[in-house]
Amino acid sequence: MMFERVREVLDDREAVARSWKEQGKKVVGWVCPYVPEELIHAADMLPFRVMGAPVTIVKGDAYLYPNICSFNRVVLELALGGRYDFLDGVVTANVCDHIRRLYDAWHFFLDTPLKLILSLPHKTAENAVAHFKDELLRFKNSLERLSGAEISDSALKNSIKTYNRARELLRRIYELRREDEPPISGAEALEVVKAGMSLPKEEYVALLEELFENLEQRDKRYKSNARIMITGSDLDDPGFVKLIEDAGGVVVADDLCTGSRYFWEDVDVGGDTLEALARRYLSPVLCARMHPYEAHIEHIIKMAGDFNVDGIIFEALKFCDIYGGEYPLLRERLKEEGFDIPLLLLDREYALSGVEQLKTRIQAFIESLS
Amino acid sequence: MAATIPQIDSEVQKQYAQFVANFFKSAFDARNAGKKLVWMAYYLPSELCYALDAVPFYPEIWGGVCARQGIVLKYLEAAESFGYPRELCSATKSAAGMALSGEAPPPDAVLSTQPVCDGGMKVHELVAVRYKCPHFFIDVPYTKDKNGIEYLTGELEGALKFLTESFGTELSEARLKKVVELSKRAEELHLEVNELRKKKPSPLLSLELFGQYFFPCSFLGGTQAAIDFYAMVAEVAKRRIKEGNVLEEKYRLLWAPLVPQSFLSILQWLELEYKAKVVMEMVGYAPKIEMDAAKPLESLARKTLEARFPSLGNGPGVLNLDRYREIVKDYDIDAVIYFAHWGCRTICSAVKMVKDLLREEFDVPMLVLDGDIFDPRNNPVEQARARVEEFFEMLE
Repeated sequence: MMFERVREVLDDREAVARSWKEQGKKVVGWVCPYVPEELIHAADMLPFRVMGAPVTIVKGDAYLYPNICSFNRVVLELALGGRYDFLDGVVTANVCDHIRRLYDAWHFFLDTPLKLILSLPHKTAENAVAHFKDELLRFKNSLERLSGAEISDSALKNSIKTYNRARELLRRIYELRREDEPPISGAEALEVVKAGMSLPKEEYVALLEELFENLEQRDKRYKSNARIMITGSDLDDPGFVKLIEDAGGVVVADDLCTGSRYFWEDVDVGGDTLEALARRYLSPVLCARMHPYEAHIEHIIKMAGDFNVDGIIFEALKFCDIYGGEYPLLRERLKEEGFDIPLLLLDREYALSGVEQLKTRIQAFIESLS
Repeated sequence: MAATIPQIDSEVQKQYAQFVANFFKSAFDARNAGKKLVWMAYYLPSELCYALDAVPFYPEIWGGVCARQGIVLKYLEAAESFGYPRELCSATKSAAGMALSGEAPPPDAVLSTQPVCDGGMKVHELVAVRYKCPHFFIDVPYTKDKNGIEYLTGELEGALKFLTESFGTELSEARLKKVVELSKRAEELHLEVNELRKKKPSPLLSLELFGQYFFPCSFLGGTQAAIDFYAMVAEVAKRRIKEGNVLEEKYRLLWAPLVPQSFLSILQWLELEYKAKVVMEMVGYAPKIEMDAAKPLESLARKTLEARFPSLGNGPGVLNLDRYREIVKDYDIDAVIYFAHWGCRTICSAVKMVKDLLREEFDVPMLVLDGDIFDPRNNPVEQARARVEEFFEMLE
């Protein structure tokens, strides 16, 4: 039962937070992987990724608006319904229009003790690093006020080491997916990464070490003539990936904020710690919001090559302007260079819906690859 | 009260029409005039261009002119056929359509940014690709504190360096300072006009300048033309007050945040039918900006961060709500009409917050109208008019 603990966590993510709080400790929610979790971890609080769930959106529509992406509306629905009342803080960054407005609504309508939005540059130049470093100092000070204790530099360095270890293990697991017949499916890989967004990192590292060893020995292999990569908007539903794999493909790579973007790059542990965090989190490959925007597109193309991908599925949440706007640029770039990588665009909502139509389109795409 | 109703085709309107025509004519004529043309995201300060004797072109604003002329749909359809989602803001989509159709004046350079929206940011990337021209992204921070001002000042410096290198020209510090001095004067005059609008009854008509107050400061900031324009409006307002030639008003309205051109007829009808006058618009509001020509780029950074439409622009929503508080108090607002432009995530998501704030803190009612700012396929004018009628019947 290799994935037993992973699935146990995913079945009740809040249970992890509840058990943490029973120890008298605080939990800080983060929205989007641009928030350096290491700072929360160094403050001896549990970083907990704020996610959605399959619920009907009612308040999310009324308190935001139906033209906000369904991920953010679902999150607000849950928060207004009390699901995130256990949080002692919620932190995000000005990542996209939708998250900015989620933060506004959270700030206006909810009483979470710490509410913070970081000014996250779109660039990686030295002045951007300096600006973001100042923002991280503001973040650190806020956490210190919340906990009543200083975050020491050595504690922060230790947290970075722990996080880097988790990142390294995840990359090693992803390396296994480069094999002709990978020992882990795309849906399983997504589950593994997702579990790390609520588990305490020390426990997660131990889990990944065991998992990696088991995967190396695993007899079960995933074989397909259609090796798929997924890229695009927020996607945390393994069920969506399973649709692709049930249709005959195998998802061998992803460029998702719930996948590789979460761990692809390490934080440098030498030198000034906040500056190192600022540099790592401003990586241009992490999201289509960054500039130069070509870096993200080149990253997708390189990853598709490295993982010997036959086709790319580009999924865009309805109303997501960043990925809705990146798709034509990626498509043009692929044409321009004569890359022979077919691309399928799928519009979707956060909750899996329109399954039959999705299946048909995915099936046709996979057949065209085979 | 008023001896005569000031005519809609007043000198203000005539000069404004001329002003807009000249502005875009200079863009279409730039190449023949031997000037460099810069496509700009509409959050960015025009002063950057004027400092280099280049011509700014704001495609989304030109899209508005095309919408008024009834010719914008072809641009929207071109963008959609290319792969942009139908749900993308029509202002942004019109810019993409122009670039794809090649019907707009071709840029020598592109300056883009993220505010006011992600869609605009992505579309300007396409513009640079299509025209194969140099592109610089000005990163506007989400904070207005010292750290944010420093960061944006550096970005504006980078943009000027990029433009001078791209055009093979040199920046004259003296010219830059002069441009900022002119920009500062226009800001002061805009504030003066807005002070006059606080008078009861307010001396300017809803339709007369509606949604256009921000244009000179935003797109002709740094020119004598902007100064002359605000000076003329101030003079007209003062003269009307002196002569008592001001339209009577029963309701003082705030219109937020934008108005589609197709709704302009509703404004005149409101004034005549219900004596309801728009005395301020979110885009017409003039913030007080600390500007000093001796620190030209820092001044432009401050101006950019204090953009006229914070609800569309940059920074946490609490700043937007503070501005509503200020306007409602300063202009003694009786009711708010809020146009929820379907393509704008930011405008729409603020609806409940603004409505709750107005009701709870000021007992001011707010009418929400849905539609699209440019897209004629989603612009129900008659329906909007019926809803306005119901709203005023309730108020009466």
